[in-house]
This record gives sequence, structure tokens and C-alpha cells, in this order.
Amino acid sequence: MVISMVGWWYSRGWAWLVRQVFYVRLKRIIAFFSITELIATLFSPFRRDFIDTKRAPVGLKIQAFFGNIISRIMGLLIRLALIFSGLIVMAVTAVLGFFLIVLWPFVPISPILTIILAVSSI
Amino acid sequence: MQDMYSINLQSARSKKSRVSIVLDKKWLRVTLVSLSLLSFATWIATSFYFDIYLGHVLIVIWTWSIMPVLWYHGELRLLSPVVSLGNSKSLDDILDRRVLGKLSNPMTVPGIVEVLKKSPGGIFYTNRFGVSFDFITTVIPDSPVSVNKILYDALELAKIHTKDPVINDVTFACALLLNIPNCEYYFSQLNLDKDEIISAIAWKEHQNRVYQKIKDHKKSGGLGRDFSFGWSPLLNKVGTNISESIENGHILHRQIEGHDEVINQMQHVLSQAGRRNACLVGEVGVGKTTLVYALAQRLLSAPKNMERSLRYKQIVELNAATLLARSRGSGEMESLLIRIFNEAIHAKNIIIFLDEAQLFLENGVGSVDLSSILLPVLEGGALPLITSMTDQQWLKLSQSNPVLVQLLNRITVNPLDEDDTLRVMEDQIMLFEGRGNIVYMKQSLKEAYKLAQRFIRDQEFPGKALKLLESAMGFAEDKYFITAKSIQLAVEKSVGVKVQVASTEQERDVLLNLEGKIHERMINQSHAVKVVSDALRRARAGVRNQNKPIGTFLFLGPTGVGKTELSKALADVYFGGEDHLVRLDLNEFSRADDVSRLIEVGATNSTSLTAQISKQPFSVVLLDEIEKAHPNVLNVLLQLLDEGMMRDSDNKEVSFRDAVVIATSNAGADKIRSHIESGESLEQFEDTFIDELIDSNIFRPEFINRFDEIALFRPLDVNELKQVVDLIVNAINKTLASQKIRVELTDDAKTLLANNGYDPRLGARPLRRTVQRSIENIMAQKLLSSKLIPGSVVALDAPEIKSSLDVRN
Repeated sequence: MVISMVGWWYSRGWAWLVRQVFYVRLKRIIAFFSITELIATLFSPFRRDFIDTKRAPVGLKIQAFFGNIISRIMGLLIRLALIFSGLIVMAVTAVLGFFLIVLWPFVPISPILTIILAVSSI
Repeated sequence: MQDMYSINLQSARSKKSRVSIVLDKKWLRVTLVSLSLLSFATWIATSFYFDIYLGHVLIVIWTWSIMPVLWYHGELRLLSPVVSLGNSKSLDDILDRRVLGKLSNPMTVPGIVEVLKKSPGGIFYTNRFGVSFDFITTVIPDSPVSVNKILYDALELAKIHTKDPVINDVTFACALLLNIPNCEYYFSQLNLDKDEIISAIAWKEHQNRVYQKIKDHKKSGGLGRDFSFGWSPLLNKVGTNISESIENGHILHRQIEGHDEVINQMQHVLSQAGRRNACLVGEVGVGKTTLVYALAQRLLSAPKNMERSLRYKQIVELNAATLLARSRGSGEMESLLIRIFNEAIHAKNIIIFLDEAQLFLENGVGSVDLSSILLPVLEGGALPLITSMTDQQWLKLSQSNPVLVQLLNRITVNPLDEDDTLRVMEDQIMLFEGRGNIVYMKQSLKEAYKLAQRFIRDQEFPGKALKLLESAMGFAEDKYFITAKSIQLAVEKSVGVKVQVASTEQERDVLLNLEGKIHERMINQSHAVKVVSDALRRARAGVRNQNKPIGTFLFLGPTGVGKTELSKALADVYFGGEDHLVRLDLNEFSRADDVSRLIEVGATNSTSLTAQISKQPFSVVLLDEIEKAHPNVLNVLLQLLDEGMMRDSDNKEVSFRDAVVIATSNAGADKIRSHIESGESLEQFEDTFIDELIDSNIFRPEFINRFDEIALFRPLDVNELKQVVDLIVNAINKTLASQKIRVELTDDAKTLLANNGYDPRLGARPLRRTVQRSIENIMAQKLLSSKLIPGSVVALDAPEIKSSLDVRN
């Protein structure tokens, strides 16, 4: 059992961890923050708060034009904020994951490391 | 000779399977993780804070307690097969770990049975099919040959019937069951066949996938999904957001294989430019609303091949009744709908669903004509719209508003066939089971389909079968299982029909002594009573032709000899009451256009034949004086006798397959009387008499041939009339029983009444009136003069009866 477990640890186990960190987790974060959808609609007005001016007088058209620009800018800012938050979470996950991947091979040999650590401390 | 298969229970995969079984226990994994975290925390504290060097030992506990948990999640939980199903000789390479991990050396039949009966697959067979594993060890010999045969069958079944890459527990259990000697006989005892036992493999796998889907349920689209869509506060208030319900896990919708094409069509139509609307047309119960739910689910899951314009769109249902309730008058209603539509168009992520669209397209109770608002919406295609209606409503709309119909993209939804309906039921029962502590058995699903087909005519499949399954929830057997009997009980209670094969002792007794029961209220006519009783026994024993009425009889004989009385007795004894008699005097149907009155729908004429039988299918249909009906009426009745079906004026089938149809006629009554008076018995002249009837053109041969039996009734003699007098007196005594008084007649008194009450033209019909009036008059006088005390028995003799009759005359 122990040999099987250690065997898996250094072969498919390591690959599994890489997949978990850089594919499963990151994909989940991208979906959670709707990053694809936010990028696709980056310049859309926020929540469709948009004034239709097809038959409006010129004065109102100008007013609506600026209003719509503000709505789009608002939409852009909120989306960028969310995308940015998602990217930070992704970065943190990737860094932590990277450390895990580096530490992974040392886990089974922790008894040896412990002895070394203990001896070196004395 | 089949190949020899082996299982190496010492292989690496077998060992891993055993470890995985241990780690399946959640409490163990939680303990290991807790131990690991605790060790880590203690190590940090002791080694760095307190500076205790031996604390480093805790690293070993920290790391080695988390390793098995990670191993379990990374490999053991879904222990993959070593090779594909087709390339294995040693089955430990491809056997499901949950079975493999529990097998022990040496492999024996009892060992396999023990493992499988406790496995989810084995429990599935026990609960859903009523299969018992306990007796299997006594019928399958315990030998290596038997074990090898089971393994071989399991592999072959897996290759054909499973989508899993391994031989799973249900496949293995199926192979075991198929190795029961003469297994088909055993399955037939459970009202199952071999194919149904095998079909459990796909059913269980599908169920596992559905449960997994529910378990993995997550909000699709993420935090920013709706950022690009507008607000729709009014719509949120008045509409029902189907997508939201699905997201909150309130609705479990299955993949309806038979309806996939319809969903694809809806998706295609709604994603196109131009007329973005889909009008689902199909009968009630075909699943139109369910298909809209399915589409909503698909839009939420937003598969990669879905058009971008449809992804994450929400389907909101508008209800005509809610809109009417929120507005005063049609003007306000129109402005409300315009605001709602504007909101939905503006929001850009809304698809409006108008269920029962006719309620928005015509003025009436609970409906309002809003077609003037819908027309521009449909023309412009600015708002995607789904509507649904029945075929009939579509035709009606085509006539009343052809312009609107031109704009609708019709998608026909057909009823599901038996296989698809069963699949829908298999999924739907998971919802029902979630509501109460019940388990539906396979037999109950089959029974629901069968009985729905037979008794529910106002809906189509799968709706009507699901309706039966749901109504059977209160009839679980052993407080737990919904069986075929539960479904039968539900039908009996809801439709008011008897569908169970005679099972109770009491009912068997009634059937076996039907003649006796009928003769309790009817004198003689033994031949007629016998043929009718035989037909009913055949029906209740389940050996009759299911596509015809239970029995069709032609009663011939003079007036007042018991033809109607036998019909009433049948309704009472067989169907449980005289109110189960549907009687039609066909002398009222003597004109050609009377056919329409016969087949009118209940809404226009609740006394028409089709309306009465739709309401109460288990009835005796008495067609009195059939010889007086118009030939057109007889032609319609021919279909009834032949196929047990008629079509009403709405062209809907009305079943007579659970009715006993009796036609009566007194044609040739004089001939019967003269035959009897010349000393012949009924059996002696029966055939000649019928030939004579055909020759005299009273009945056409094809009409006579449609009846199961023709029963001749003979005139009653004086002795039989005296027995009829006894029956009438018994009825009077039942009325007097509340006053604890009885009447008894002397033989002379009976003879006097029989002679007075009998009329050669009317038979015994005036007898009841004569006896009742005579005796009731005498008793009324005695009661009023206070000559009777409770417990009295009044003996009436001929002179007393005579004086009563004289007074009346």
C-alpha cells in the first residue's frame, strides 16, 4: 500500500496536482469571475442603462450621448475591477500552487528531512 | 466454449480497491485531515515558538496523514481501469473498485452474491425490481464454472450496455441474475422480462449521472454574468423566472431524448435574426412546458456550441391570470404588457414565455385579447418569445387571426412513445421520491403507462403517466414502495374504475357466485344470467380481449321479463351500484340526425352516450329497444361493439372497453311466447329464432354477429311471478324494518297478486306497482290505527289483498 501510494505520488500524483492547480482551479476562478464574458462586453453600458435617442431632439441627443458615455465608462470600470480581482485571485492561486508543486516531492521523504532537521538543530 | 476469465485479487489494482473502500469512509478522511492540520499547527508552535527540537517529529504525522487523503482524491476515488473492456483477460483490471475491493479469495458464488446484494447496484435491483438475492446461492451451483460464467456475462453485458469504462456493480449484479437457471420464469413471476432486467444497467448509470449533476450544481456564468444586461423590476414582479428556479435547484429537468430535436429547433429559431419566436403546438401533457424548462437549463449551462446571443438568457413566464389580477380592464392590461415587453427588450437577456398562449389572444373568462400588442413584437423580432398551445387552439387561432399565425414559427411537439415515456418517468420519480420517503418500482412505471393509456384521455404522454405516478404517492405499500398495485389503487380512487384483477377473497367469492348474487334480485332467466356471468368472469380473470368492451350482449324477449332488471343487477353486483347503469332509449334515436345527439361532448350535452361513459367508463350501457334506432345510429354503435371505441363530436376517442354493453329488443316476442307455449325450451329454438329475425330484416346479420352473446328471455309463468312477488315483499320489509314490523303473504295472496299484476303485453312490469300499492295501503291503515306494535308480523291473506285491490279498482 505504502509503495503504491509513494509510486503514485511521484508519477501521476504530481501530474494530478499540476492539473488541479493550473487547470481545474484557474478555470473555476475564470468562470466564477465571468472573466470571458466581462472581456467580451467590456465597453457595453452598465446594466443597459442606455438612452435611446432615435427620435429625440438634437439637444437631448447630445445630453444622451454624454449620458451613454458615462454609462459605458461606468460599465468599463466595474468590469475592469472585477476582472482585476479575478486576476489577483488567479495569481495568488498560481503562486501557492507553484509552491505546493515544488514541495510535493519532499512530502514522502519528510521523515528523513525531520531527522536531518533534528540533527542539524542539535 | 467461452473463454476462461480470472480475477487476481493480489494485483495492485485489487489492493488499491481495498484501500479505497477503507478511505470511502468520510469520517476517516476528516480525521486524517484534522490530524494533519493539528500536527502542522503543533509543529509550528513547538519548533519555532517554544523551540522544542523534537517537535520536528510532528512533520511526519502532518505529511503522512494528509498523503492518503490526497491519494484517495487523486487516484483511488475513481480508480481507472488498467485496460479497456475489450482487451482484458484478468477482470481485476476492469472491475469497479467498489466490487473488486470487497471480493475475497477464493471466488465463490455465495461470495459474489454477498458482495453484490449489499452493493448499490444490488440494492437498486432489490428496491426497484423486487429482486431477491438470498435464494440465488441455492439455485446456482457453487463451482468455478459458474463463477467464470458470471464473470463472462458481466464482461459481455458491460461491452454492450454500459457507458462506464469498468464493469460496474449493477452490470455485475445483472450478470448474476441472468445466471439463475430458468431466470425468465423467475422474472415473469415479478411481472418483468429479461430485457427489463438488463435495462436496469442504463437506468442506474443514468441515475448516478443525474445525482452527480445535482451534487456538482453550481451557479453558471459567475459573478459578472448579468452585468451587461438591463434591469427588469416589473417583469421580476409579475413573471416567473424559470431560469432562476432551475439555478436555485428547484427544478430537476431530465434530458428528454425524444424531444431533443424540439429543443434544438427552439434554440435555432430564437438565435436567428427576424421572427425570433417559437410556438410549441401539441396536446396537453406532451411536455411543452417541460421543454421550455429544458431549454432554460441548456441556456444556463451555455455549451460551447451555443450561439453567443443565447448564452445565459433568462426565460420568464407570464401568466394571464396574474396580469389580469394586476390590472383593471383591458386598457390597463395592455399598458402593463407594453411596459413589461419594453423592459424585456431593453434588458436584452430575457425570453418571454406565454404558456397557454390562447389566454393572451382571445377575450373570455381568465383571458384577454392582446394580439394587437403581440403583433408588432412578433413582426419586429426585438423580443424573443416562446408560446405554447394545443393543436385545436392553433386551428382556432388560424381561423380567427391568420395574420398572427403567419408570424408564429410553429414547432410541433408529439407525444412520447412508450420507451421515451418510461425514461421520463425514471427521471421524474427522483423528484417524487425526494418529496416523500418512497421508492417507485419498475412495475409501477409500467403499470402507470398501461393504465394511463387506457383511462386518461384528456392528456397525452408523458404527462398522463406522470400524473398517475404522482397520484400514487399516497398508496405506498409497506409505507415505502410504490408498486403496480399502488398505481391501480390510485386509478381506482381518482377515476373511479376497477382495474385490479380479482384478488381479495370477497371479490373472488362474488365472481364465482355471480349467478347466485344476480338471482337474489331476479327470478329465473338462468340462460341469460349464465352467459353474462361467464363473460364477466373472463374479464376479471384477465383473459378477455382488451380492445373490446368487457362483454356485449343482445337481450331478446317480451316486455317485463327481466331484461332491464338483469342490466341493473349487473351494474349493482359488478360495478358496485345501480348508478353505474347508463341507459339510452333508442326509440328516441330514430332519425338520421340523432347520431349527433349520441356523440355530443359533455360540455354541450351531459346526457349523451359519450359524455356519460367518459365520466364513468366502468358502467353497464343499456341500449333499450335497439330495433327502433335509425340505421345511421346503429352504424355508429357497430364501431362501439367492434373496437370498444367511439369518437365524440370533438373527434376525441371515448373508450367503452371497460363497459358491459347490453342491447335489448322485444322484436319477435310473440314468437318466443308461442315457442314456449308449445313446450319447447329456449335452447331448442334459439338458433331458428335468430335466423328468423335476420330473415325478417329486423336485424342485419353483421349487427347480430357483433355481439358476444345473444340471450333469449322467456315469459314468466305463475310460479315465477309469485317469486317476483316475494322479492317485492322483501323490499317492502326492508323499508318497514326501521319500525320493526314485517309483512308475510299466504300462498293464495301471492297467487292473487301474481294474476292481478301480470299483463300479457307488459309482462311482470305492472306487478311491482300492484304489489306495492296493495300492501302499502293495507300497512298504512294498520299503522295509522295503531294496531301494530314493534315486533309485529303481519300475515296478509287473499281476501284482505282482494278487498284492497277492489277498493283501488
